[in-house]
Amino acid sequence: MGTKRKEDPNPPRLPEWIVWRLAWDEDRFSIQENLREEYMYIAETKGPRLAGLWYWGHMMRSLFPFVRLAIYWRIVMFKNYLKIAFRNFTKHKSFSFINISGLAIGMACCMLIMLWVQDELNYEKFNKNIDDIFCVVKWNTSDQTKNYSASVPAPLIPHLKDKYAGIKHASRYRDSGRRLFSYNGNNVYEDSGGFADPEIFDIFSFRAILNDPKAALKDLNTIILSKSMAERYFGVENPIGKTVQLENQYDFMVGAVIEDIPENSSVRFDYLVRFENFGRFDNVRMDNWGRYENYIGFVILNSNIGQEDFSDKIVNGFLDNDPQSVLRLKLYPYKNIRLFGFNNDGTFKFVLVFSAIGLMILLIACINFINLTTAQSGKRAKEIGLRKVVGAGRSSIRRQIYSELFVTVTISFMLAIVLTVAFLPKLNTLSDKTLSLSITGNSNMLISMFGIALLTAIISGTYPAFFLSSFSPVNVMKTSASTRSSNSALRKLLVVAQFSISIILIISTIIITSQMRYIQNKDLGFDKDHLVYLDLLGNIKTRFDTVKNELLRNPAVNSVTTAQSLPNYAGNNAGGLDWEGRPADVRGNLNFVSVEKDYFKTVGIEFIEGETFKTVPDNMLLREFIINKKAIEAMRIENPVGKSFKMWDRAPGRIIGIVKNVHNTSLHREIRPAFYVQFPYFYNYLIINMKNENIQNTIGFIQDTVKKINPNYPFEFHFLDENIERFYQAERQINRIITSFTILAVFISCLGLFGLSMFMAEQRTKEIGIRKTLGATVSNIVRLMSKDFLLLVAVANIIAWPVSYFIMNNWLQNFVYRIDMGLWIFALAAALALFIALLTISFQTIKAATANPVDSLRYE
Amino acid sequence: MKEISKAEEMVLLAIWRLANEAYGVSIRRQIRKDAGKDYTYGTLYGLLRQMDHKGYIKKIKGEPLPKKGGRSKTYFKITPSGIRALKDAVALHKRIWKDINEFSLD
Repeated sequence: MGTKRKEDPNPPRLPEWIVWRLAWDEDRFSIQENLREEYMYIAETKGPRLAGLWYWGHMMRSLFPFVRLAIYWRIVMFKNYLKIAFRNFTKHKSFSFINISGLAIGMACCMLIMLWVQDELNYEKFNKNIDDIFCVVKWNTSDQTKNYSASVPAPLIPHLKDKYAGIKHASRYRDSGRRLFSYNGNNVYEDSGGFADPEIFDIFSFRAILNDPKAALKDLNTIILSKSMAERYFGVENPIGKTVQLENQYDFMVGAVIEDIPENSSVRFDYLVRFENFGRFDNVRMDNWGRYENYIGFVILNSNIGQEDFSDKIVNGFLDNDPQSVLRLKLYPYKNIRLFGFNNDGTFKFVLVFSAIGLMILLIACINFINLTTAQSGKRAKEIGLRKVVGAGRSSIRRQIYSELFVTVTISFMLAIVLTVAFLPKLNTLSDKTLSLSITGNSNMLISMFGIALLTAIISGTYPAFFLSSFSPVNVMKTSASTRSSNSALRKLLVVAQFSISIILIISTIIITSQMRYIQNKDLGFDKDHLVYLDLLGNIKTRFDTVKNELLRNPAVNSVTTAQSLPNYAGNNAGGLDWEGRPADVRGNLNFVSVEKDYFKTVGIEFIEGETFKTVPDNMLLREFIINKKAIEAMRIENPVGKSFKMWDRAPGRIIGIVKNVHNTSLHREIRPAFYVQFPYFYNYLIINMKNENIQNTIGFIQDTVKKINPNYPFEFHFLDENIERFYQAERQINRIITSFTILAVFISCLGLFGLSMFMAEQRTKEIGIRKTLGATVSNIVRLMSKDFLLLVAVANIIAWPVSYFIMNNWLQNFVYRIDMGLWIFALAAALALFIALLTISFQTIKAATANPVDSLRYE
Repeated sequence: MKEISKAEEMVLLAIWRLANEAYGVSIRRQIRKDAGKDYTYGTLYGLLRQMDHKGYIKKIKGEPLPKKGGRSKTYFKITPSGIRALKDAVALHKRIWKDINEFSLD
């Protein structure tokens, strides 16, 4: 062994391998040989050990030049590849156009969706202690499904803080709703405000600008403004110490100003007053355990107690007040509210759906690139073959393909950014957000954008690069280009995939649209088209009869009434009810709506039995009750009219009538059992039924009348159908967004189909020429060429149908009242897809079929 | 035309001197002998490749090495434009040192 080593000593493996890896392809053999030669010389003269050391040293000293060289030459070659890429580009203009426009649209969709998704995922993230904030939620043990609700009674949170050790900070919060603001004689409604306890500033990271908001909120008559609201009211003046009036009677002094709260915060307000003011404003007792006026409780726990432990501790918090209570408590992480809701009704599913759609569209665009590049490979084969003959390796061919891809993706990427910027305002209106493409403020954004570009490059480039570099030069040179359209099976598969995605989207769009139309046209049981309403404020409430009589003077006003809630709401839930013949296992729990006697006439609710209230309303005495049909089932009684009915601990009254069911909640849910009662204390709205002619004049008349009686409040009115629309806002948004994306997906798929048909027509020019000289008609040839493509679309349909049925069936489950997924929907989608595909390829097939065979065969 | 660098000049001269015997090892040795510089193969091949690209030298495949699977040695030969570049370098050198005695720099 020793002798052999002396005779033919080998240089150490590792440095040799490193040199081999680093050296440029063409030179690595020579360099290795040279190093070996010197190594052997040194080994002979000075011994192998020293030679090994020398080799190592030489390798180390060579590292930097090698690396620099490799980088330098990569760049040189890349420039060359780019040159060729641009040449290929201009040579195949239509293919490049299809590739670039498809990829640009695909990437733009992805970017827009990403912006939306990032905004959703970043909700509440500006809060420093986001992980420690919890919401106190309740659930009802008598409900069949566990439904969490954040609406808790006002005294609960202070009670929890006092009685159960572990809460570090706690605050109640309630959105203010619409309130009247007065400053310097101007009256304005402000919608975005809140009531809260001072510790809210310990919980959320709202940034103070002027004064300490927490200290300021200690005072009942202090108001805290956001920066933009302060500027709106006081301009450049210092707002601190100024006085604004709310609801025409309460004066508030500005105590502090905070930075505007980020858009993606669930708790958002422009002004904040102390929580107790809610009771003052709305005449509500704040020590009532039985009322849940959408008060939300936020807490931060001491660091020594966990969420689960504390949840277990407070689970029976309601029993402290009422041992009979069926309500239980637990803590819910605040950070999950937006994405998951309290009952899995958050936006996370939209995040998933939209991300999936974005990726699908990008995939469709990438498939175009793959298909067109491999289809064209016949043309490229000679160039690649020749490159290989003169010494290019597989890797350098791959590098070339990647460079071309780089050019395509870079151009598409820049276009995509332009498209994104152009369509961002549109997305903002669709989604009700204020997203912006600020790269400076968000490094994540930049990374994700390049991530999208990289993803595009990888999906679309990998296969073509391997496919093209695998050509053997001998085969390429030998066979003619037209027979080399190999791998058409994969191409077909990809086209099927593209169209499956498009058809799934088409079917979803049709179903969502028809469900929305169904909702729009559904008879809700009341006269939604003729109703307008006003908030019952100031004198309109105190002098309702005057207002009513004044309004009824105009013949265009059919009827006027007042009520606690609009007919599309089922009012409040009331427990502690009792009625004659109540089975023991039925709980005295129904929804109730307080209405004036003309409510049924005005709103258009028909009576099944009996008629409207006859007695004079009295807050103390509730003598007459009217129930809806649904309530009969819930109450489990027969012949209810005339039976006695008791609400809370008041004197019992009688059921005097039954009305038809109306949709007193959104169509997502079952109609709720409810009863109607005259309870003026609760009235909130003035509801007017008016004729649909001369609406402007009638509104003008209503305004004059109301203004005369109620001069201190700005006049505002609303159409009921707009209010009903709010139930379906989320669905409408999704409908619009999905429709846009469907159109884009179909468009990109068609671009690809167009490119493929163009390629096919080009390839079969001679075949078509010969067929025509042998007597084939134009329609024969169009049919011949369309057949394959249509078959693919048909197969795509078969794949898409069950998938979309499954998805949409799932979506429709959100609605109790919904359309049937008829076969026509699927047939329509299929017909649509086939028609679009046919139309797309017809440009090429007809052109090819009508071409003069003399031209196509001339060069033979 | 752009002037060649001192390093390129040294390599070109070494190749010229070695005539038909210029390959990696011999070029490296020649430079060490003439200029006392110990170039690594990384540096040397970087220069060679660059000058090949510029057309000052060309690669010539020699006979395959007399062993199993032996590859042929790559020799380098100076081209006419390489000669011209060397002449230019000398001319430039002379021009900029014209009328200057090196001792007068002190």
